[in-house]
Amino acid sequence: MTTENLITIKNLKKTHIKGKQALNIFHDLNMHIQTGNFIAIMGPSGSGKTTMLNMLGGIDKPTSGEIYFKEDRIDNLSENELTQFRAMHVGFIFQFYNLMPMLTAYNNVELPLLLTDLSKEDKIKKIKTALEIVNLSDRESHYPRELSGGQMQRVAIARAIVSNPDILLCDEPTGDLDRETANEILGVLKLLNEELNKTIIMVTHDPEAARYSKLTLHLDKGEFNQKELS
Amino acid sequence: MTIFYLVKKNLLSHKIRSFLLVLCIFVAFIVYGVLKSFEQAMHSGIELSGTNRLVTVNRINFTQPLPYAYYNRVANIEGIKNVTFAKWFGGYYQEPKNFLTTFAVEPSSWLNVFKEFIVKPEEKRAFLKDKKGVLVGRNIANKHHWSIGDNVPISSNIYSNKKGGHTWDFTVRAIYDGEKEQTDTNQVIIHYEYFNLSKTFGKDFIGWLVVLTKDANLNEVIAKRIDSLFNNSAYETRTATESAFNKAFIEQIGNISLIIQSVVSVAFLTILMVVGNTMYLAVGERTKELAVLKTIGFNNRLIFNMIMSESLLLTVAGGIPAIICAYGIINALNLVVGGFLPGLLMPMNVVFTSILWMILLSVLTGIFPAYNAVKLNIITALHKNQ
Amino acid sequence: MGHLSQQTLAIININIRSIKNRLGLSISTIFSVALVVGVLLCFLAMSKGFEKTLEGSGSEDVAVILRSGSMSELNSVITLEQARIIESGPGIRQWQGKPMISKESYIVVDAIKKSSNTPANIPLRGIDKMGEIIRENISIVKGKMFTPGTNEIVVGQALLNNFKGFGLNSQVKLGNATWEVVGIFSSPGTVFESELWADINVVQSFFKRSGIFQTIRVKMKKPADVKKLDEYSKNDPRLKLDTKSEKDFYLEQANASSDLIFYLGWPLSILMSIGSLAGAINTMYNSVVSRTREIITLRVIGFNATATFFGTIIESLFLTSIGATIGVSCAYLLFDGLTTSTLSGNFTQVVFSFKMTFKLFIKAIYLSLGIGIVGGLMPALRAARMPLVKINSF
Repeated sequence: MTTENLITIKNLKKTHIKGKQALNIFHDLNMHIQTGNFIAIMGPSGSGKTTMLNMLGGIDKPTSGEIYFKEDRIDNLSENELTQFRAMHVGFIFQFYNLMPMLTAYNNVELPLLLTDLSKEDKIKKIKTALEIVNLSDRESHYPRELSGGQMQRVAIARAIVSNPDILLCDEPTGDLDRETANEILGVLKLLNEELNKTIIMVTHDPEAARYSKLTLHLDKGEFNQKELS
Repeated sequence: MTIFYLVKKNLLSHKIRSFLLVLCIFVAFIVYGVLKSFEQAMHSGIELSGTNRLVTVNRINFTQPLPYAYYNRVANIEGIKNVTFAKWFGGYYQEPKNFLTTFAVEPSSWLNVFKEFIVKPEEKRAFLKDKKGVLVGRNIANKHHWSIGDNVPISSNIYSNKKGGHTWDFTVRAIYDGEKEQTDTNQVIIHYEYFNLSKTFGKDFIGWLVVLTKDANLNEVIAKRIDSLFNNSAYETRTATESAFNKAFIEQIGNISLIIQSVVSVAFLTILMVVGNTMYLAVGERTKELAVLKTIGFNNRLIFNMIMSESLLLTVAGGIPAIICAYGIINALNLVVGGFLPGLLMPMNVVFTSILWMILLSVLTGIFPAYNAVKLNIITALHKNQ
Repeated sequence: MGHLSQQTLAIININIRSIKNRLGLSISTIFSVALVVGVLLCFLAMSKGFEKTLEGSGSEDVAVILRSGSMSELNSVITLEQARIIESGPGIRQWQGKPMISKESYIVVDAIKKSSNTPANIPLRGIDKMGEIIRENISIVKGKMFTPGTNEIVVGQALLNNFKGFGLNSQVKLGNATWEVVGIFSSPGTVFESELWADINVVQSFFKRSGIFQTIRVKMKKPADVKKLDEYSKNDPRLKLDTKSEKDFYLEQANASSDLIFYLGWPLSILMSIGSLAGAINTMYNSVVSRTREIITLRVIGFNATATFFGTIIESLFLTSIGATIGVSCAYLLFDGLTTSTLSGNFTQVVFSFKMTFKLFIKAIYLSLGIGIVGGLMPALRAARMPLVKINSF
């Protein structure tokens, strides 16, 4: 298992402007995230969990400071470069799954592959594999409305991993699910981390969920309470 | 799956809505296709007129006669290649409602001037030889089931003959085809000589002259030469190009182009409003889906193209069948009103301009929603309530 | 909960207040209906105006006599001898001891149409004193009547307004003779206002038609006498003439031309209504879908399905009525009284005005209500049938 730094954050500052008030979310944050880690970020509402996730995934930018993905700085990329970065390196998993209602499970998983030049055979292989990993091969021709919440989230996970990204960013992946189903989903994430060495960062409210991770960070007032990260 | 599949799925996910939009577009393009074909048919007389053909009429009005002698006098004017003349016969077949566009002409010069009338050589010879012969257009021959050798009585609503009736007996000697599809093949051509000898009044008068100039550049000069030749006589003339003459006639009916353009604009304006607004709302509803696609890595160009393809697909799905239907309608109408409006068919340029309009309308209806989709902020869109 | 009507009113109130949430779509529906109504009214008013002008031109007790089969005055030829035979026909009214018979010539001349600047056919009618007397609604509004035996003409007011070169005292050159405009006559809403009149004898000699007329008008004692005169003329082998009342004569011409407008105007409007109907249905579906939560909530607290149904239908009617009102008003302001001219069955220009009538408005309103009801129907059904269990998923 390699332990190189996948993400490095240096002197990160993030300020939200709400009306006339400037809200400091992060103030001089520094951290590393190593390849193969499974981090759970916990914290009260408004502590900046999701903002953190968005910045790591390249859909939000810091006010100042630097974010490196491997050796490359990503916080100063253009919108198009960020889009390309996301397509190549990041998989997203959301609380409400965000599947395309008019597409089957199979087609939903296929979406990220539309951005690649893979051959038809390769695409089929990758989709089938992804669906197998989340144990949904028998549901591939179902539409989201025909699936349960847990199944939908598994489709979303398959979609997130189909293009083999380096990092999975999960925003409350179990927030809409009952305990049992949530455990199933967390099991899948754990498996992805352990067997396939996927780096996972998961924002959650649920202490139970955090237990599946290798490392739990508590975010409060823009600071992580575990200093060993830096 | 391709991006196109995604576009298709998006449209099909709101079947009723998409169907209604397609219907709206379909209707507008039927209106466009049919009316534009009508307009062009009305103007086909102008477009098909010979570039170096002039028409000389009585200065008072073209329904006023000219003396027969003008035919020979004009023939001697310099710069003229050919001249012929015609007299309106006011023809009809059996009943006044079956009117026939009938001209009494000097046949050999007529066929020299109107080269777009294609007649088989042997039929032409037979027609020129028989003074009681008649040359009829293909359309009329088909309509009344006339064939070569048939004896056909043709009546006049103006003239009476020496037998005391309004009906003359003719023999179909030749049938002409049009050089182009639009060429009027509804005409009936009879020998002036026979007509002139047998009618009871208005002898030795003709209706108008048709002059073929040697060069279109000479048109204006020759028109002046002709008119000055007859200046201050009892029958002054007015000479104009055939196209100007036809245009003035169309204008007599009214400003048809204006009416057609207004109706077409109204139809297109309706599409713009209905389709544009619906697309705008439809894209608004999909804010979250679009944000997800962007998060997954769909870049702006892809998103923009996707929305534009949606509006293009809608427009084409409505527009192409509409043009095909309009084509069918025009062909059906041609059977009904072809006699009044020769050249009623769908010209290729109507098809082309329809396609251009489809592209333009789809761009106009798609551009704002597409721009909005591109400008969409992923973070706010993702965290909108379900 | 109150009565159905109260419930419906409450829902209408909610619906109409929420229109601002889909303003773009609602406005596009309103305007598409307005445009359809405008197009329909434009065609109908054109058709109506043309029809009225031709209808208004004919009297029931005037017989128009043309050569058999000639269909129009232009093609007709009547000899002096035939005219004399007619004079001794039955039922003819007398005026100062003379039969009221007007022998007229009808010649087509060119005039430049102001709107297009191209030559167009206008009629020069040669009449005598009797021609003027027979036409009752004629008055000279400027200048005087032509003097018999001179090159003087009088011009109809509509013709004056729509064609160039006929102002009072102007010289009009027809062929190699010059005529002087000495008067302008008015005959509101008739084809005669689109004519030039001159002395019959001068016209005949100038156009080399001595002893030949195009038409004879005969004032009868009563309308039914037209038929008697027709029978009289049919029984005389020398005549071969068609006799009909002037009213019928113009009515036939009106039908031929206004049918064209009518058969073009209605199909076009109906076709375009389909387009705007599509827009209306769309808007109403959107309205229902966007209010799913409110509709279900209202239903759960006891509102009737019928009330939600009518609430939607009435919202749809509300939108299309606004559209119809805009369409009707604009059409009235833009088109009513608009003057134009076209080629009539007599092969000459007839000047006529677009005529908006209350009946036409009613037709337009029906069309818009039709769009409103059909447009609201399916969405209203959806609103009425919304599954109440969905309340739990909000």
